[in-house]
Amino acid sequence: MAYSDASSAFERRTSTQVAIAHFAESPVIVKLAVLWLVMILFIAVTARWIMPYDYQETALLSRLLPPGATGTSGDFHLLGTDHLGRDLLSRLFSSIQLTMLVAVFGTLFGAVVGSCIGFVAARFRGWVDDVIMVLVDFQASMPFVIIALSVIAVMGTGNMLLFILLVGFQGWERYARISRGMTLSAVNHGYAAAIRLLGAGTMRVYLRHILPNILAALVVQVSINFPETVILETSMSFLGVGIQPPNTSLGNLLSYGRDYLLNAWWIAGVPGCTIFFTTLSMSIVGDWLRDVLDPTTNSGT
Amino acid sequence: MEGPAEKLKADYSTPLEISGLTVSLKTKAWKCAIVEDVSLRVRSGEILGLVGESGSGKTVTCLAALGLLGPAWQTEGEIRLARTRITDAASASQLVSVRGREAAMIFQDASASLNPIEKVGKQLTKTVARLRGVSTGEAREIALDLLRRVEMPDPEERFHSYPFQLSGGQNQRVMIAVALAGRPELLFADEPTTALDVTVQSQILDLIKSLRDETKMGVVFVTHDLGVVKEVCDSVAVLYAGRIVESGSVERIMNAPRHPYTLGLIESMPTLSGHVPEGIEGQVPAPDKRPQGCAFAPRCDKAQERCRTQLPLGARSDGGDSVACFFPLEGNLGRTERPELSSHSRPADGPSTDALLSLKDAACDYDTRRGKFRAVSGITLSLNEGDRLAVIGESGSGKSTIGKLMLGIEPTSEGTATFMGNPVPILGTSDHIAFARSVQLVPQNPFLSLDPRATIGSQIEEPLEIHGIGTRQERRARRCELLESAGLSLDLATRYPHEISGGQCQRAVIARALALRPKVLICDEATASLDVSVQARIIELLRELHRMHDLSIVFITHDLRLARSLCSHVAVMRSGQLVELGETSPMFEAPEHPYTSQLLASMPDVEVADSRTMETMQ
Repeated sequence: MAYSDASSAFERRTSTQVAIAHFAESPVIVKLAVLWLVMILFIAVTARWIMPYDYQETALLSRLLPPGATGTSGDFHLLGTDHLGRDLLSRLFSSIQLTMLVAVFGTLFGAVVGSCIGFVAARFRGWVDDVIMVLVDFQASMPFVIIALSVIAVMGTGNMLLFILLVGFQGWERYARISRGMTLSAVNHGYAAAIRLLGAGTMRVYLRHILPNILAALVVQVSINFPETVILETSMSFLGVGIQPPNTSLGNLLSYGRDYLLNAWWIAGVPGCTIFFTTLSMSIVGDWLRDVLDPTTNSGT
Repeated sequence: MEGPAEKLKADYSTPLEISGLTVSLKTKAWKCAIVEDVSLRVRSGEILGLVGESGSGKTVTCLAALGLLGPAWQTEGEIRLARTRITDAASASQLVSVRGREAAMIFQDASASLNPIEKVGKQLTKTVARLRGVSTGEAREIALDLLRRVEMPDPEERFHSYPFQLSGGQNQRVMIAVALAGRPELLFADEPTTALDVTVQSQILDLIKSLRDETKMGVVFVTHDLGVVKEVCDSVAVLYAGRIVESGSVERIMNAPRHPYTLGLIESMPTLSGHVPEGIEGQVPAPDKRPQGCAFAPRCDKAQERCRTQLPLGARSDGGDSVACFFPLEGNLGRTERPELSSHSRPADGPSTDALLSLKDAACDYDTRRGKFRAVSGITLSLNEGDRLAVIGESGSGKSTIGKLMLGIEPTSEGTATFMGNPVPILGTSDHIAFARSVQLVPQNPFLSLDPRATIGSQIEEPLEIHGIGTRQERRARRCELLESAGLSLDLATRYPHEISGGQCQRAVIARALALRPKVLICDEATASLDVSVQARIIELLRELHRMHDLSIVFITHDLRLARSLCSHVAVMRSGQLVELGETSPMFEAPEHPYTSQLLASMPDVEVADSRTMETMQ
């Protein structure tokens, strides 16, 4: 088919303007979700400064106070206290900080490693590709929690860095699949071949040209993976093999609160709701991002 | 009886009558006319050519006539198809009774229009049974008969084939048989031969003509190739920006066009006798940016003030001559002969000491699941400095493989490929990086070969960056130079590929290929995806670049007319073999190999075929 030689004059808009325009047109629920995530992110960054009390300070006289109660020493506890009299709001802030730390760095780590593995498979093909794809299938058919638990069982708990890497590794096979598939189609698309014919090396072709073109798909995958990482972190901590005291994460909070569900629901309820709303917001934003970044539904830049 | 698709009094002599048709695409916010005020009439046994470049509204007109446009489209004006009036309000069942029986349509890509998981015989039988209301057994007989009528080789055997087992031409024959199943009075053929090889194309054109003679049906033949029009049509309507700008008999239009656009189109066509195509400046305006007066005025060198403000009376295609222009051209088409490019006369195949790029007994194998497949074998040819070599052949002839051997994309399985005396390095080796500075490729599809997410400017600069040539400022300056020499304005540097037109994209690709000052440019069907007026200007650009930079060009194409207008030497390929090699003009005047003469004879041409070619056809 012949291509039209008619090029209509485009209004030039910067990508920031386009992003803002897209956001302004988005449904209310997306705006709410973004608002929630911004709040969570703000708390995660500033937790140390905005928490009203030390999150580790116990006060046995003000144990299990309900939300909005004032303790014996005259301290006001907006979300109440836990079984050791620690201020729940402060603990929540601290937990959000740690959970987000694990989730953000873990997800980024997984995304980078997974995509690189995909690139390697697409670049070398042949037996390298076969081996990687078998590993991917292997990973996809095995619940990650089991792998994570066995690694922790061998390596022991308490190593924060190891835990972040381990949690982040979750979902690497999906990044690998996406980046491999899209790289293969990009190579066949022609521009990659054209640039190689100009004498460009592999790194230039992959990082300067293919990566920007497949980034949208990877970003969407990140947004889908992120809530899963949060859930994985909280479940590991809930099981007691994740974040260890005195540090605290949303999973820890939930796990302690379980014993007091009947007489102090807020200890488990507050972190539970936080996890729920955060992961839900993340999924909503991810869905919306997928629509916005999809080149087939959106022809403009 | 005032139904939306009411039956009219039978009028067999004019199966299609369209008057004042305006088709608009509308959404909630805006409405945009794609086709405006089109009037057409097709008589029984007449083949009307609907000619125009992409975006001119040819296909939309056909789809509107069959009521095939979606709900986003709005049609005004009157369409009468055989005995039925087609309107927006016509119900699906009314249209179903029209389609197939009164009018049928065949499309460009027949393989995509047939159901891939059903045998062609079964598809044909079902259609016959539905349209003629006969039993399956009878329908089978009729279907077989139809396959015979479309001159399908071994119809009994092909009856049980799946579409993927047939070639493109055979699929198009099946498609035509399906279209004939309901004995339509009118056939819409939307670029039916564009995707086919020339020899197959001429067979299909002959078939359409003979079926027309046999059934006396009217045919609307949509095409962008004026050569095909000349071959097959009785009358022509030229569309530009949604309006008919000129219509008349095919002889009159081809010999004495009166609208400047028609003249421009004819001048854009390369011919077998070596006419150097001249393109038309500028671009077709987008449907929402059409000018107030004559849509062609901004590109017309004869335009005056009146053309820019007033709309000339629309041309109607109803048998007589008609032109939509205030200042129609007079007189016959005078060809302005342009000087041939100088060519070193030398035997192209002979051993030459100064050969730049040469293949010697070269063969190339591809690994397939069923073992090795030899794409080309025993190729010996050489390219000297300043040569323009055309490699022509039909699809599957191995012409692209020759390009790959020359570029080092594929290694030779036998024989050698040498560049300036050294073997051509294979892509991916360190030697290839230096080699890339001397030999560059211009691929077929410019949109695919540009990175969609990088600006045109940065992509033109990229080869310089890769090879570490110059400082940032020097590269910037070279980029402007390259844009200019490729005929692009400097402000395009900040645009992205999807923001500019196909012709501009191809220019950008050429500019990028020239950035390293290569000695050889290999163009693999570089203009095949472009409109003729744009193609002509790219050819012009290549000729100029050749002149200015003493560039050697290898032009891989299926279009012999292009080879004739651009190249000094021609290599003809057929199923992996080089069948003829020589200088262009002698070969076109007296081809030695029968395959070359067959190709020449099949090529539709806007000029009368040379009598000598006709003789050698025998």
